[in-house]
Amino acid sequence: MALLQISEPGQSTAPHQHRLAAGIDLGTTNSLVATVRSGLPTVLADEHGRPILPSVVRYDGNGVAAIGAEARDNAFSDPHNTISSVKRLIGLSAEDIAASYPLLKLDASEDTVPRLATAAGGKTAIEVSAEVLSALKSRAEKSLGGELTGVVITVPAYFDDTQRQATKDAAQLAGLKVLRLINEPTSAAIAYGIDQQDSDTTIAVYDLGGGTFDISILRLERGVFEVLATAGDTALGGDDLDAAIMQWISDQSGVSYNNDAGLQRKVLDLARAAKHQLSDADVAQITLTGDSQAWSGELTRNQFDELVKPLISKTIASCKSALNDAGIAVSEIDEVVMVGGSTRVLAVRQTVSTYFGRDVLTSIDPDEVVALGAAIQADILAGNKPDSDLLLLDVVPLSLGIETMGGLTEHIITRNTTIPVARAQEFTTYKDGQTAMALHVVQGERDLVQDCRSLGRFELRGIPPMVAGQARIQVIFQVDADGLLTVSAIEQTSGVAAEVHIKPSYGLSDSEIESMILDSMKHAKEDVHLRMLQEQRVEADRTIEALDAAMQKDGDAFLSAEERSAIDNARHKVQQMRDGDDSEAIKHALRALESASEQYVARRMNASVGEVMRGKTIDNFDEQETTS
Amino acid sequence: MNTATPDLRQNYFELFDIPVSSAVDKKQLRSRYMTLQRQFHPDKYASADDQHRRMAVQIAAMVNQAHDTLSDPLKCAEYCLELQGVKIDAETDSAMDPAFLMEQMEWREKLEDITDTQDNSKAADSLGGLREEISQRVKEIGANTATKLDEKDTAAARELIRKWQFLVKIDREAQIVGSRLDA
Repeated sequence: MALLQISEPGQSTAPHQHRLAAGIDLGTTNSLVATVRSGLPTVLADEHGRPILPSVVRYDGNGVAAIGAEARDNAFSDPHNTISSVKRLIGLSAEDIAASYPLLKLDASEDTVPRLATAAGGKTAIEVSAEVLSALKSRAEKSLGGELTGVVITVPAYFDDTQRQATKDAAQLAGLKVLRLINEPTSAAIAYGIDQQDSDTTIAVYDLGGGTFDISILRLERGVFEVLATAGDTALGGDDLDAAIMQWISDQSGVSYNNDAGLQRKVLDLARAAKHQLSDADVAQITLTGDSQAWSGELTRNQFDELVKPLISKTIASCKSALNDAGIAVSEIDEVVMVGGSTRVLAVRQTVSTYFGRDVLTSIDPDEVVALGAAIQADILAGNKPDSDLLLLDVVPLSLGIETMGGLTEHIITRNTTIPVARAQEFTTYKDGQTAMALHVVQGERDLVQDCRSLGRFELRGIPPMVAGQARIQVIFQVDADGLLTVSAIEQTSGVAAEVHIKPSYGLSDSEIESMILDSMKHAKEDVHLRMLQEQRVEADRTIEALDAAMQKDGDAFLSAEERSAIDNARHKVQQMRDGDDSEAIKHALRALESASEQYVARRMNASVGEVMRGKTIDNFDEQETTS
Repeated sequence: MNTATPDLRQNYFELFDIPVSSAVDKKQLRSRYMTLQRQFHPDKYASADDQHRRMAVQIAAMVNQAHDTLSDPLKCAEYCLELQGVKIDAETDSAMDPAFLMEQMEWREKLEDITDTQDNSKAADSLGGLREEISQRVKEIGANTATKLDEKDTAAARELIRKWQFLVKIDREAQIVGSRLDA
C-alpha cells in the first residue's frame, strides 16, 4: 500500500518553512509555555517578563475577569469566583468532586458534567482549563508573531483515559491543535537532552511539586523513550514541608493559629521564607510580629532536615516501589532528573542522591523543565526536525478491563502495556437465545468491578439467537498514542458490530489511582476469596436456572415424587448457600445437588440421545450440570 | 527510510523478520522492534491526515502486540505452538503429571509457611530460595519446550507449556507475597 509514503513528516513541510509549535506545561498550581527558538528551547514570558502563569481563573458577571497572577491575588477577596487547582478536578464526575472536595460549590444542573458555580454561570473544569490554555496560546502567538501549528501538552504519567480526554477537549476549546499529550516525567528527561546520548540509559524522574509527588522510571534506547513504571503520592509535596515548619513554629512559640486564618497565613509565609532561605543558608531567622504572638527564633538546616525527614522518606518508599514495578535495581539507574520547586530543598536533593548513589540533575530550573521538554517534542512533531530520532513510547497507567458475570473484572490490557495497543478478547452468551450483551468498561487493578472505576457502558445488540456459549463476541480495546481508549465489539459469526468512545463524564482522582494500585496489592488475598465466591454464585445461579428449565419440561416424566423432593431439597440448599458468603459451602451444596440429580440427568440423557437419533436437539442441561 | 506498509496478516515472526523459535534472540528482537516503531509510531504521522494516523495506530498496535508476545518467553512458546496448529486451551484437558502436581503442592505449602512467618528477613530469605528454585525449573522447561517445538512434537510441547503456566502463576503469587513483605 503506497498510502503511507506521502505522509512522512518533514517531507510534507516545504523547506525553510518553520512551523510555530509550543510545549505547554498545564500544571495544578502553575502553567508555562515554551518553544524552540534558534534550536534552543525557551520559556515564553508575558509582557511583564513573568514566565509562570498561575493556573487560576477569576470570573465576574461579564465572563472572565482575570487569568494568572491577577486572578490569584483575588483568591482571598473573591474566593467563590476564583478557580484554582482545576487540574485536580479535570475528568471527575460531580459525585467524585462532592466526595473529594466537599467545600466546592457546584452548579446544580441536570447536566452530567459538573460545573463550578461562578458569577459568570456554571463552569466545567474543561472550560476553566481552556481559559488558562487560551492565555498561554495568545502569549505564545504574540511572542512568536504568528499562529501556532500545534502544541504538545504535558499530563501526569498516571492520568487515566478520561483525564487525558478532558485535557484534549480543553485544548480544542482553546483553539489549539494537540500534536500529542506527553507524560510530564518524559518531558523533563527530554529537556535534559538525555535522548542525545549514544548509550542506552535508565532514568529516574523525581518530581516533587507543591502538592503531589511522582516518581517515574524511564528507559531510553537508541532515541526511544519508554516509561517503565510510575508511582507516587498525590497528597505529598512542598505544602507538607511548609506545614512541618509551621508546626515547629507553633510548638516553639506556643502560638496557636488554628482558629485564626490571618495568623495562619502569616505563619505560612514565614515557613515558606525559612524554607527558601535554607536552600543556601545554614540557618533561618524567623520573626513573628504582633501583640499577643510576638516571637523570634532560629531554625537551623539540621533541625529543618529532621523535620522533613519523614516526608522525604515517604518519597523514597515510592521510588522503591517504582523500581520494583519496573524490575530495575537501584544500581541500574544512570540518571536522576529533579523536577518541581520542592526539589530545591537541599535535604531532598541529598536524600535522593544518596538513595540512587549518584549526583542528581538540577541544572535546569525545576519549574520550567517540563515545559522545555514539551517544546522540544512539539518542534519535532510539527515537522521542524525531520532527522530527529526521538520517539516516545508510553504505557497504559491503569489496567483496562470489562465486567464479567458476578461483578468480576476481566483485565484486557494490563497496566504498563506499551501504547498504541489493540487487544481482542472473545466473550460468549450465557443464556440460550440471548440477543443483546452489555459491556461495562472499567479501569483499575482490583478483581471486583465495584472496586474499579467505571469508564463507560455500551451495548451490543442484534446477536443472532444461539445456544448459550455459541455466540463468539470479539471485543477490541484500542488505546492510541495519547492514551485514549476506543472499544468496539463484533459478533464473529454474524459480523454485528457496535462501537463506543468513552465519554468524559467520569474520571479518577489522583489519589484514587494511587490507592487503587496499592489496594490491589493489599487486597490480593481478599480478592481471591471474593472472586471464588462470585464464581460459585454464578455457578449456582446457572445450575438452578438450568435445573428449573429441565424440571419444568420433563421433571414429572422422569422422576418419582420422592426423587423429585430430594432434588428440590438439594436445590433449596444451593439457593440458601448462594445467598451466604461461603464459597466452599456453595460448592458443597452444588455437589450434593449434582449427586441428587444424577439419576435424572442420566435418564434425560438417554432420552435425548434417542431424540437426536430422530433428528431432535439435546437440551444442554446435563452438560451444564456436570461442569460444576 | 523504508515506508512499505507491513501486511497485518503476517505472523509476528514474519513481521519482525526473525526465525520462528520460542528461544528468541532478545537483542535481535529489540533491534527490530525499535526499527519498526521508528517507522510506524503514530508520532511519525502527527501532521498527517486522519486516515494515515489511524493506519499508523493500527500498525504500531500490532508491532507492540507482537513485541509483547515474543519478548515474554511463555507467551512466545504458546504462540509458537499455536502456529503449529495447537491451542493451549487449559480447560479442555486438565490432566497433569502427578509428580509435577506434588511438586506444585509442596511449593504452595512453602509459600503459605512463608506468609505465616513472623520474622520478615527469614521469610524474605526462604522466599528468595523458593523463587530461585522456580526460576531454575522455568529455565529447564523453557529449554525443553524449545526443543520439542523444533521437533514439532506438539503434544509434548503442550504438556510442557502447561507446566510452565503453573510455574509462572505460582511465581506471581510468590512475588505478591514478596511485595507484602517489603511493605
